[in-house]
Amino acid sequence: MTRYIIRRLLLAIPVLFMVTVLVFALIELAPGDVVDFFANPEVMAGMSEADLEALRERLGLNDPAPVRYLHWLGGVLQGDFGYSLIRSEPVGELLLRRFGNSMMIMGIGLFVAVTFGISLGIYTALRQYSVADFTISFLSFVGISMPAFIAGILALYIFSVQLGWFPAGGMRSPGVHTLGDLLHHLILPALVLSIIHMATFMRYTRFSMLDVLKQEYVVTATAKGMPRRIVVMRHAFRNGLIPVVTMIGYSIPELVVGAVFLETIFSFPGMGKLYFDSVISRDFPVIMAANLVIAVFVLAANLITDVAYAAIDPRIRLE
Amino acid sequence: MAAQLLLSVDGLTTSFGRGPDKVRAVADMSFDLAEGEVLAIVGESGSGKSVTMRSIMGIIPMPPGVIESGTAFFDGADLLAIDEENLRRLRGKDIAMVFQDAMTSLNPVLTVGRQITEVLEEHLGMTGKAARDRAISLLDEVGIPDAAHRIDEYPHQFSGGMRQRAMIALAIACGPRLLIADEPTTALDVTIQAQIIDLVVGLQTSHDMGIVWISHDLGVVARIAQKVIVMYAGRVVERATVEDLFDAPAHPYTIGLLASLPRLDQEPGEHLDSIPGQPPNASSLPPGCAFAPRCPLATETCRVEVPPVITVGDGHHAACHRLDEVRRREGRLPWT
Amino acid sequence: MSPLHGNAGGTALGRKLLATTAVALTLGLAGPALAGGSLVTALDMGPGGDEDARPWSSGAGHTTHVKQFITPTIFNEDLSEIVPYAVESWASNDDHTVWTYTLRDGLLWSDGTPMTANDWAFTAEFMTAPDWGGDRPGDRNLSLSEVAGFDAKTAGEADSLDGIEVIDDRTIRFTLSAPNPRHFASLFRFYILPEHAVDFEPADFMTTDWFRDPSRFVGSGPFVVAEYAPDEYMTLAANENYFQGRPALDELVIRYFGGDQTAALLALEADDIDFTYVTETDVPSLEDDYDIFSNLSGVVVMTRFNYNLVDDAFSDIRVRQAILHAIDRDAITENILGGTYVSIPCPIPYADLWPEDVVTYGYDPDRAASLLQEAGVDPGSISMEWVGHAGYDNTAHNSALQAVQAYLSQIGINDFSYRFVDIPTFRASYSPDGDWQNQYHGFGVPRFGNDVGRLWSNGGALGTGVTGYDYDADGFAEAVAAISAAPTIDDYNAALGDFCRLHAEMLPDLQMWVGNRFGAADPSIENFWWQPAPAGGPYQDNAHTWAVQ
Repeated sequence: MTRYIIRRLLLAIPVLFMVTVLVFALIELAPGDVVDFFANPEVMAGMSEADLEALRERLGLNDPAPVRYLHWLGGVLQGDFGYSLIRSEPVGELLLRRFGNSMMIMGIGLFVAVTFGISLGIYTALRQYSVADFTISFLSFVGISMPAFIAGILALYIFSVQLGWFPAGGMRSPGVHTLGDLLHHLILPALVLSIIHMATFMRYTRFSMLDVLKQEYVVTATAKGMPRRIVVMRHAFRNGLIPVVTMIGYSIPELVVGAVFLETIFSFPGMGKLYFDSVISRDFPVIMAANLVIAVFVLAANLITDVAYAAIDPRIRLE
Repeated sequence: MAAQLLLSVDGLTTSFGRGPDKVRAVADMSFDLAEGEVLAIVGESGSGKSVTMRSIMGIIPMPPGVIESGTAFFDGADLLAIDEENLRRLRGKDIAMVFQDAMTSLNPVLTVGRQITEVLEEHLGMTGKAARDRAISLLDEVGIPDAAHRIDEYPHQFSGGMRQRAMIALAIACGPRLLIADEPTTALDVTIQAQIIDLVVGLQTSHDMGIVWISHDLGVVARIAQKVIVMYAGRVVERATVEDLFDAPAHPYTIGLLASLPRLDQEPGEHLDSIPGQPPNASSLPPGCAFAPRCPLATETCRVEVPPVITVGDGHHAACHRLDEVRRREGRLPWT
Repeated sequence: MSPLHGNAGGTALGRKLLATTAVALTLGLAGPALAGGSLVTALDMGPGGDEDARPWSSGAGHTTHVKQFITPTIFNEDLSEIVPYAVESWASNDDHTVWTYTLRDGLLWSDGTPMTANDWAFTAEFMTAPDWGGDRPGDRNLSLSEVAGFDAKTAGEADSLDGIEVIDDRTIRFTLSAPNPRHFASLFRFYILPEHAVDFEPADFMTTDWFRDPSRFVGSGPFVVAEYAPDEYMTLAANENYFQGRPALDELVIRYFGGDQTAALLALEADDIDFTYVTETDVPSLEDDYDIFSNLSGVVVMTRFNYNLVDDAFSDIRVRQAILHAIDRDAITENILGGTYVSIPCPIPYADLWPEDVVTYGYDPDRAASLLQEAGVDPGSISMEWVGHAGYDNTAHNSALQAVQAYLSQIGINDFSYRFVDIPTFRASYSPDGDWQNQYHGFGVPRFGNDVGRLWSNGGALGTGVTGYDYDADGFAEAVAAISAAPTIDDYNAALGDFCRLHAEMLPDLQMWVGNRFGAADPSIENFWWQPAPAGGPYQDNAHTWAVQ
């Protein structure tokens, strides 16, 4: 197992390297650069092409692409991710802050999605074809099909605008630094995030449970006189959990990056929105660093999931 | 002195589904098992032998399964009528079942030891070291070498035969009085089969259990059973001691089964007799005798009237309209 | 002051308001007696906003910058004039090359230190340091490029600006490298910084925390920064030493929404904020419950030609005239652009400046067809692709361009298409070797300043080098020079009118329309004022009088 993990970690290095090269190439291919983003196209006066060129020169954008890439890479290897060209803030700080914000929503969202998704999956599998099963399954189809931004807008409109139970976006009330206030702001976006994923987890668990409940060893467990609760949890669920764990693990990176719609509508400054904004503005230090972080995250999530899979299924042996 | 009746089943009828798709898997099944006795239930796949015992254990899926009628008395209680909780307490403790395919019947993610100790915990209240030690000794008893280490292994790490032994260990863990073995050797190769059969026979004596052994293999039946029930299309067609069954089979189906057994004194290349035709589709049984379409002696009566159960000898019954004809032909029937 | 549902500028009313305000300002009257409270707004939403809160180096956000810094001059309330703010008076020599400004008496920084002309000179030298780190030199150039010695100083060849001279604590003299009869109008974004409190170097202008750090920041506006949470909000606290009096509010919060209009609108409707920029489509549902502030945006939308790339046919003015005649711009502005846009005869967005006799190209498809025939051009052979940027990629403008497509096909021009691209792509495409044929594009034309010249001259931002159109040859050089050199306001306005007439005649570009922009505020805010000024202004909004109950 340790050898396996080490091998995976070593393999990750060339993968990450290739990711950075690929992303850099894509940024280069996209028309325009960050200076083009600066120049507000509606306020033309005062900035001549000469000014913009001087700016490009100062930001080092006129150096040839490989030079810029190596310069960036050199910085990264020494722990320096450079400065955001748009925000005049060190990229490391920026990413830490935005990533941390995303983690908050994701942490709560994932926790809720996993606990409720799996529980409802087991519940509906045990009550297949019942009214509860049909209702919950229907709602889960709605949940899976609903685009994130619509769910977000609806949630805001109902719970914030109409009912006033939650603030309409933002991470904190200005000037307030309590945990309670933070949670109050986190709940709605985290719940919306969780609902979308809860539906997927629920359906997957239900499917897996239904499959497992038909297995012979479940019959054996019942024939041994084990109580229903133990048959379902220790025998059925323990097996049914295996594919669900892998599915949850692989969907974790998506929760971070894919929350751009929710972050936008809830004006919650997270990674997704940062990444999106940095691409629009061609802020290449941020794009590169964000990509790197996301790639590391994806690789780590995959590795952890694979290891977890081996840990819970004794038939799998990694070497 | 007459042995005590361990299990007494009367008129068990189990069906699956509803309406036009209803399938009657077991119809009017009755038999008795005395303590210490080995009863074999024989029949082709789909004959209802497995469903019979699973109905009695209460482990058929309900829905779509329905036990339409019948009683099954064990220890003074009708297993088909008591509530689930009481039935559960009997399962694994007083009545235990061994299944055909140990690979799929054992939980792949729990150690073999855990699967045994959980039964000991549940029914006997044994915990910790005591349960573990008992599990080790059970594995030992069923002939698994190095039991103290193998107890922590997973089913996939056992060979086929070892797995079946482990299943048996699991079944006898709480000292059941009735053991139901549902084709436990069918999936094993012949030499292992023999070992398992010897094991069970040995355990039966040492633990004084009554056994219901389900099989489609008459050869196995001959070695292990005292009494035999032959099933066809969900019904009992013949019931006899094992000697009577082999020496003087009464029902045409039984005769056909015996005739189709390969024999050591046949010439190589000689044509094997088999019963022509296919077992019936359980959802579209003919009104009369289910075997009539394949029976060389079938008459119009056979086709429309369900044959009555007729006593042929002491403890020997057969359900057939044409028993006289069979006797007249001295059990030789035209199978081609 | 009640909110205006603005249309084409409203100069008469504006002048009346100016008079009232000027008197009020001079007498130093403060706002109503209500004190305390906190107002939460989204002042940096919309095209005039900027979440970086760093004056001198942002393309917009002036509504926020002016909350913390006073400028020598400023736009008045309805953006029709540049009026005194930190200065009390000015005088210039006859040829308008030397300007002397006098600061008001008794101006204080937020920490009680007196503001003097030395701070002004300090700021001028700071911003012209050769290693000044600011990313957007637009406002710096606007404020200082006319000063003698600017080039030498910014190139590092001189230690100080020749043209800046401190006469005494309240007086400063500017010597310009070229005459400018309205130099005072170049100072409306000159945010004076406190010499005694600035503790960072010009090179670190973009990376310093000074603008966000309440323990170091010193300002002169009605408010000063109390807390800055990046990407979330900025809290400003009342400045006791603001020269117009301590603000009625204790606190003004500016919340950031990452530019997402929907999020801001939801926050407004949920009562989390009391003001935000809103789009024209939001207005009808908000009108009843909120005060709507609006005015023409000062941004004209035009279609420009890249003569280097478009079909030769477009060099013939009759073809360009035909296209304008073919499109019913009034119908589009009224019906598709929600009646919040107005079609324009020329790229000056202020109706009071349009001459009576300016050529307008009304909807006349027959005339369009005959013009094409006259020019000997087969409409089926012409192709046009209008490229716009993401800011106009909304339903309204998409529908407007679809209507344009329909109108053009009516006269036989079928090969017309449009698309919207992101901002870097948009800008990158209009270099001399860019690939744009036509750009559908807005231009901010503030009422003062010499932007017209910077835009429509051969050397200007839209000049020959980019579009291939020889502006100077067609009389634009004279027209633009006349605007810069106009000695009085009336001459200035007349010169703008001449330019307008010329542009309508020569049609280097197709003028389309100019739109209103809107803001919605909770009616319970007292004395609130907001205008959709280009880049946020700055303009007088009397924020020190804003109050909540």
